[in-house]
Amino acid sequence: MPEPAALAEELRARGRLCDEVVDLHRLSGGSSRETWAFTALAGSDRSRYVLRRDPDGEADPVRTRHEAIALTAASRHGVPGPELVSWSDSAARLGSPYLLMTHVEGEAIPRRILRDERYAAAREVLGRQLGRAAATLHAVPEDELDGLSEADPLEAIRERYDLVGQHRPVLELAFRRLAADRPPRSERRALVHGDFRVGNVLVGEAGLTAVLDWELVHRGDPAEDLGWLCVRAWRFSGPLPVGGVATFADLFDGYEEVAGVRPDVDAVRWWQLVGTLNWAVICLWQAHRHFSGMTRSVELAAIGRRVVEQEHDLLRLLGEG
Amino acid sequence: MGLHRYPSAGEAVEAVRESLLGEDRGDAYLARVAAHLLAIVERELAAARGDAWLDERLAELGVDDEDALAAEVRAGTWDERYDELVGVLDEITDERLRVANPRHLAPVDDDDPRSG
Repeated sequence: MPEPAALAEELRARGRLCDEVVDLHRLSGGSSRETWAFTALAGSDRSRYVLRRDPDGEADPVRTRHEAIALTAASRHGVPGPELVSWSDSAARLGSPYLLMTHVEGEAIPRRILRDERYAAAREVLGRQLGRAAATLHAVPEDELDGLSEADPLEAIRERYDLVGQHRPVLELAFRRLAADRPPRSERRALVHGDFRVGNVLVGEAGLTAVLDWELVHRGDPAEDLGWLCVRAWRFSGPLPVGGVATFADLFDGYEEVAGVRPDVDAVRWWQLVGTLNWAVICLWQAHRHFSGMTRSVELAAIGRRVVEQEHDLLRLLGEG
Repeated sequence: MGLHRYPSAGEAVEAVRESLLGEDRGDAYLARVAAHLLAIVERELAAARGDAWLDERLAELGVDDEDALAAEVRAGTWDERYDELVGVLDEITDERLRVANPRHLAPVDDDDPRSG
């Protein structure tokens, strides 16, 4: 647990007013990172902050550095989200690498965003807003991305699949077909969020308030983020194909408003299949964490039976050509 | 290697048992996850098709198990007999889905981004 006094000192060192840190509590969600919320008191002022921190003994300085580069650049260019107050990839200051940011109001839980009456107006505009946010983050100039890396997507997924060691003919078929149907490499190597979907954004009553969870950020083809957003799992059983709440026209119209051009829909389609394959392998990996004894968990075990949902979707999507 | 696996029914029940008696005790969310997993096992026990059915389907493709089939697919052995392969994979996948999550079998025809 982070020390309130150390947090107060860190805020003051960054020029923020803070006499005392109160109401420090852990937020749920995020299995690889701890997320804490707290309030800084300064006279009669109250300011809320969020701390994302690697668990003790599980420091991942590279991931923290990547996330800091991305958050800084995205916020400078107008992607909605928190302001990064301070960060460190060392354990010296707060016991573990961390990102300290301002608190943004909004709902993250997909079920509520999709179904609560409170977000009815937000749902009407969310697709277009997601399109605008994606285009904005993809427009970050390349010279601000120093330090971010790029990996071949199929090789990265294959590596994890091989680590699990469960052999699945449908997934092998998808690897083979996707390798054969690879779209031409996009000229621009853009900032790619890497996990851009409902569940990793905050939504208020007027719509999108923040793009969060940048820990998989990298350089690559901007169509990747749009394809991932269109994976069936991220509909959460909602009625519309984009995050359960929007049409492709909403998403691409919003994208075009900022980018000036519509996304390459053939590339988005390829990345939608890559995303479905990736999610299948992540499900296998989660079950593997249970079986290997890394983390015995009924929840991780149950995810193993979700692989077949993605296999079903892969066969359907491959069949559509 | 059976029709329903990773976790198998036995492994699923084991995970639920551990959860009932371990640190998870009293956690409402994990209790729902455990109930969901038991519902899958329940459907599996009630299903008419099992491992023997899977072996028959694999025999139609001339392989003994899914490891062998996966290796052949990876090597390109099925590139020229794609429809035959996919026909059997569809059958096996749908049978698994009827146990794991029958609601996911509902047809979806609106998620092609090329339509936007």
